[in-house]
Amino acid sequence: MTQELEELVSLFRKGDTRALAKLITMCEESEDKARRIIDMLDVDTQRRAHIVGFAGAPGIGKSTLINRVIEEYRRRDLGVGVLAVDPTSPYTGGAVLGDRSRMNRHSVDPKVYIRSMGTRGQLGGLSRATRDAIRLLRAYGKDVIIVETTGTGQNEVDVARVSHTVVVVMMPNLGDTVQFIEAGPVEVADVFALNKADLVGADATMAELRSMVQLRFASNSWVPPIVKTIGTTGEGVKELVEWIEKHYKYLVETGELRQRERRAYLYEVVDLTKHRLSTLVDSEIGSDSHALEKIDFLDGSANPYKASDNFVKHLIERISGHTQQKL
Amino acid sequence: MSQALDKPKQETRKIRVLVAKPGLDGHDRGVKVLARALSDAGMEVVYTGLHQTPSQIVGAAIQEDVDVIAISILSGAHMAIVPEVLRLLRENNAGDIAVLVGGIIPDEEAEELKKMGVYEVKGPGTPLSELVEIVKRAASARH
Repeated sequence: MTQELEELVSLFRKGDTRALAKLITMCEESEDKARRIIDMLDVDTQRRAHIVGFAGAPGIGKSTLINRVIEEYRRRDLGVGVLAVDPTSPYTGGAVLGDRSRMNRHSVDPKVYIRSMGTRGQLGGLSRATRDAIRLLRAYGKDVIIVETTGTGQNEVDVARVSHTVVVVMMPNLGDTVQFIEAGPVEVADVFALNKADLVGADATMAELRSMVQLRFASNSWVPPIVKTIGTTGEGVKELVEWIEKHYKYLVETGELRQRERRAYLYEVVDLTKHRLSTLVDSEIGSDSHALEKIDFLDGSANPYKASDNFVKHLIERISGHTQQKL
Repeated sequence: MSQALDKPKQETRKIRVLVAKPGLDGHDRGVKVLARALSDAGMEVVYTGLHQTPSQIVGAAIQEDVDVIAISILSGAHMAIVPEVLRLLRENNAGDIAVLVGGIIPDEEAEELKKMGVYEVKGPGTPLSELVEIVKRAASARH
């Protein structure tokens, strides 16, 4: 395993696409492998890449729009990495990853790398390995890394914790002004794309969006622009990319870039810790129903709060090494 | 710090499949049904969309690190397209990715494709459960 990994990492450093793809697979497979890879790569923080997240409801045209955004970046001769996340079925563990079908023509461009990822049980629109994949793409030398979320809707704000710039994609006639003031992706938007702008109703939606932006962001130093786009034809995409780049410049000039990266890093530490603790809980119980019985430390007095107190105490003892004993 | 937090986590090796539709025919009902069946069997299925060239298919397969490529061709162009996919895979040092072909393929040509290195060739009417098994076998032959 270690030798295989060393070989892969050295190929990766030479720019081998297959090695990059395999390393991402390993990061998806287990946290242990991910950790070893990140250790070996020694996370090159000097290399910069602009990380751009795309959020928005399913069917709104994110993948088709990204297809055009890749094109625009390639016109500027920038290397692009895309991580397209789609939901994994909680019932079967399987997934149909369809985002790629909107952008597969870029598969023959050696400066573009597109990877489809299943959420694999993670909520919030991304997968656990997404951040590792971003790190790998940055170390690989991509200038722009686009992260497309699942589009599962209003809870989809994780993308803001990994991106420098969040593009929230909207379309005409999708809900009214009340939807716009509700919580969700709107809150994390740096740029709005009003996609499918050729549909009837686009002007009315544009007006609603404008008043929402005024209401919500007027006092911010960065007021998110709204760009009309048509993903199928590419109209408005040049302007969209210009705004995305302007936002990055704004982040650099105001020093907010560092702050955002710092915050993203700290959130990652928190998430990783949560994940490890939850894995510990699961491993204490195992798949054995007898062990499950044992977490009711109070012999069936049916007070879940107290039982949980005791379970937490037990876990702390396990972590601190005071007991080696499993339940 | 004890070992409690460091014990080996469960490893999940998921089978990844590229479902590809090369050439000019637009009949994608079959691949969509197949994609669904493979995903129901717990696999991750990447769908390329219609009208793919062999180099697009191979590019996608490498970037996605799939175990298996399932190609569906109903246009009769299989003897032009499939050998080119195999050649490009080898050329890109990815000859270990298994290739399956489905569609309207005459028996003698199916044999020829298998001789060239195609893992399996199947036609209409093959039960989905059989296809799922073939993909599983092709993937495990690889690891």
